[in-house]
Amino acid sequence: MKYSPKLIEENVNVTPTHPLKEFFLLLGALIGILVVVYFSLGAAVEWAIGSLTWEMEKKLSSTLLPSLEFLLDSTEDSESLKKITDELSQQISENPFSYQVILSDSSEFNAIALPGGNIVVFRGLYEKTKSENEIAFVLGHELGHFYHRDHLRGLGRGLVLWFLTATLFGGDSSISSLSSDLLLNVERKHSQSQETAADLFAADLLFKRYGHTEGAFQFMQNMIDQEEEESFFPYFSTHPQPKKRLEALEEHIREQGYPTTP
Amino acid sequence: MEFVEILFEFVNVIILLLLATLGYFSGTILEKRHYRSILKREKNFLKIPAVSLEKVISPEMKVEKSDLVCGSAVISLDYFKRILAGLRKIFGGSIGAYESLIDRARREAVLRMKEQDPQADMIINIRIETFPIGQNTRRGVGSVEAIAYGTAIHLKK
Repeated sequence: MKYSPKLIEENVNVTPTHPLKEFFLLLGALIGILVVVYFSLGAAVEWAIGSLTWEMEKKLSSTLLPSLEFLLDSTEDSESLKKITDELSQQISENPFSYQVILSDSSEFNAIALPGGNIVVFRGLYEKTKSENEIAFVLGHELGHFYHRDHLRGLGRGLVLWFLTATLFGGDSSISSLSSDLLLNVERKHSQSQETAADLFAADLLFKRYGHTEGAFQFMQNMIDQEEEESFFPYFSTHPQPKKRLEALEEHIREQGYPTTP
Repeated sequence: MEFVEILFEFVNVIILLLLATLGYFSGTILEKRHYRSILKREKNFLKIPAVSLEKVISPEMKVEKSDLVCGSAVISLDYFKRILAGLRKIFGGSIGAYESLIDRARREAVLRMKEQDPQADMIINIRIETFPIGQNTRRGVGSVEAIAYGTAIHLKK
């Protein structure tokens, strides 16, 4: 056997693809899939919300949020909050929901609507409100969220999509934190239109119960003051800027012809 | 304020993209240069066959001297290739990034093995082994080491 050396020019061991082409192709496919999943999730969430009855929601929330029970207290303040909420909710036609109002001791300036008809008002906000009309606006705003089923939407898409990217890339990778950041931004835009809708709902309730909407303006002023106090304020990440909300409110109240003072 | 927040969030992505771009350009240049060097040296070393046969080929060949020769090389991925491999991991298919990595490491190791004894007539019983180097980060292999070893044979003239 004679050995005759031969130089092999073509490299069979490496797949001949151009890396940039491959990169954009795969990336495009991935983004395309995520977009499709996002929108179909959105449709699925809307359908699910439509079919979720009040009884089911109550049952779900009692398993998901067991810890709220200990926050319930029967101080004079929380009793009066409950009373205001009940009176307001009576103004809502077709209202199958029953509500609990919890006054939390946190000094945060916030109020949230949690599944199951739970409204949590934080002391930080409660103590800054100056009139019954104003706190009624806050409660009415949360009632608006329940009526529009916003509290369920917030959980829907963002959480599932974050979960998807976390599974694919690992929870601590920069891609999944990026996707959760991006989603938070998109969900924020959603939240902002939901918030304005809740504001207008609260204004309607105020008028039906009290005959005027002074509390709405008092609260908006409170928020503008709050915004000036602190600059990086978590409240404003999910709520639109107070000025924008004020504009939307003023326009709606003007259109409806609600009195702005008692 | 909102714009600043969004910008802040995108800083992560921007850094990722910058690193990937840097990795792509530097990685491509280095790889092309390495392959040029490999091809040149392989041409020079054509006269030394490196075979995985255990014995010298024919009985007429008398062995004068034999030595263990060994060559190793460690090659690293660049950041762009890492991302590409990560994408491949989702969809499947051959990972060109790793393929070229291992190919370069193997051939470089064989060349260095031959360079250990450039006067040899042949190198028999060669074995090539590859290992991943560095922790298995979430993006997979960081760098790879290849070792080629064999017996360098000097024949009686």
